[in-house]
Amino acid sequence: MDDFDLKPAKDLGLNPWARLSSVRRESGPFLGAVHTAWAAVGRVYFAVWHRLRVIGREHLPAKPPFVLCSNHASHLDASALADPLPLGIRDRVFALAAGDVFFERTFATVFAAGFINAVPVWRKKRTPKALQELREKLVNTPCGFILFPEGGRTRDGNPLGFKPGVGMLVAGTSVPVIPCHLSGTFAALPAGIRFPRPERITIRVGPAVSFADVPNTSRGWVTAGRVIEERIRALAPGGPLKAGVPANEAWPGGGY
Amino acid sequence: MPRVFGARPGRSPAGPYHAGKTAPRTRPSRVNPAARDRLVNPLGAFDQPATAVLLAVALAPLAAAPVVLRVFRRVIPAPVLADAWRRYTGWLVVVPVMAAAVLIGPGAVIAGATILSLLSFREFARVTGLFREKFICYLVVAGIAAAQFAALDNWYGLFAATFPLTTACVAGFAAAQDRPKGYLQRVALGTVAFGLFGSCLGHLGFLAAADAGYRPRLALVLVAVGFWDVARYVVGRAVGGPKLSPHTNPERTVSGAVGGAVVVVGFVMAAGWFVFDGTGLHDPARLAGFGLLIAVAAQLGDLMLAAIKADAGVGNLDPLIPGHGGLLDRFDSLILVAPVAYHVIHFFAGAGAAQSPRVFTGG
Repeated sequence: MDDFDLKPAKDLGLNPWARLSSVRRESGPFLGAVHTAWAAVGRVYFAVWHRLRVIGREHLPAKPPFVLCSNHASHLDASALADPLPLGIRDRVFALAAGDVFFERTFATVFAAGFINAVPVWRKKRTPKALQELREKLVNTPCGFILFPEGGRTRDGNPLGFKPGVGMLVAGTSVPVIPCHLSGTFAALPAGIRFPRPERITIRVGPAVSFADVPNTSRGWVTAGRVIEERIRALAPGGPLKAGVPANEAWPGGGY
Repeated sequence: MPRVFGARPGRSPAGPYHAGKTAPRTRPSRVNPAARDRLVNPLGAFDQPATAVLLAVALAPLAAAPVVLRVFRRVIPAPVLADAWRRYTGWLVVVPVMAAAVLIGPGAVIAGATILSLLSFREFARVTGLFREKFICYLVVAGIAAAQFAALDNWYGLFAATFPLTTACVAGFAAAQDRPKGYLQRVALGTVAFGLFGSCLGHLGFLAAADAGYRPRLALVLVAVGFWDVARYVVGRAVGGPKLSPHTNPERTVSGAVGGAVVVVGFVMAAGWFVFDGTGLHDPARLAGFGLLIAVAAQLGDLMLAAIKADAGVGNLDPLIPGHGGLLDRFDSLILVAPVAYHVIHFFAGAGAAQSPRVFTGG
């Protein structure tokens, strides 16, 4: 916990609806309690229904700021990645979620913001200012981000190409990026399935990497994005996974 | 009756499954039914004729304001006119809600005061940054809940105990967090927050719960604060003049403060003459002093919120009431008026003298 500072809420002045879908959102006592309660429920759910296993737990951060990056195959991914984090910091860990999926309908918005603690990233109307806001939130709050550099879920189990957006958030900062690899979530809840199957989920966590000496330029963003992509692919069971290669061929031992 | 081995009082010796033979355990309720029923009693809303008169007095400006604003629309500058319409819209929401709570019964007043306290605390915490100190916030919320329960129970002893106990919890548990840096700020904000929104606003509930004829008295206080706000605004805009507290809120003028005080003193003297008939407050000098105290407390409450916002560098609170901004923007003056009004009425008119204390807890 940081020292006390007489600073108003960053989302002060927004109406309740605008707050939910704002990047500036800060959880108060009520929303914080909801997040913590949901995290506790999620911990039981993942332990019982998915027999969640974490390999490399020692690499997980104890406090913000940090960025957890992973491959993306399912709506379960963000919750699964957040699950092993300490409950005490969960209301300061935000999942970056597609605005057009999670923040355009009332129920989805309330669920995403109120329970998952997601903040929107607008894929079709993304602006440098929006990414700058996220970068400032990450560094100044400080907070943790869970994001998926692929930009969307795989539909067939094969990995998608990584995008350099994550580099725009972390290049030139000392914020540690923790590469993670998720397997089992595609089998548990692929796109088009409503109820999760009781498949085992495994998270492989790699050592943190910092991009403090990488310039905050387009070249730096690409460099950071490429390093993160390599680290995530290296964590895949059975060796590095190449984009566009069918999962079963790339990973004899499994895949998503 | 011979005692059957193994049998317990109120239960059939044949066993608990012989429902037909089981004697029901009857335990006398410790709650005074009359006092409990009084908490929600809309049928008695107009038992005191003064209530209806004060309701009319509260609603009359709502009916007259649109006419006045339309008639003088060419005289009033456009920004002021737009601001006045926004405020009017806010009053259209606030007045009926407050009137409904007063008319339904003390239970509704206390429920309303609880919501008001919690939402006001939320706004305060978000302005000052206290909302990030979640544990202190939970302690303050627990204190507010205890204070409002004390009002519901009409148990002033518990109400008085909530302040030192909440302060002790905030100061003690904040120290136990082992974060000495910023300790004083955290504890001071938590204590002030409970003092304002738990203790001060808690008196609103006691104004209703402690007195069988509370409706005209509470209505008088609420209408007086509303009139003060409108008079302060209108006179301040119309007359202008020296600033009351230019560093805290450059919009407040001495003329507005004086105009608000004159209106409130006049209103309290006129309405209080009927409301407090037969009590120690049925005296022109005392009523004038009561009105003056309300006006001063309302003005200080208004400046208090302005000082909080100025210190935090905040212009606007979370928008909740159209035309008024946040809930605190509307009810800031009531925060300090509530304890002043309760204690003046209690001292001179004997609030609570004929009411059952500890409605739910007994004792």
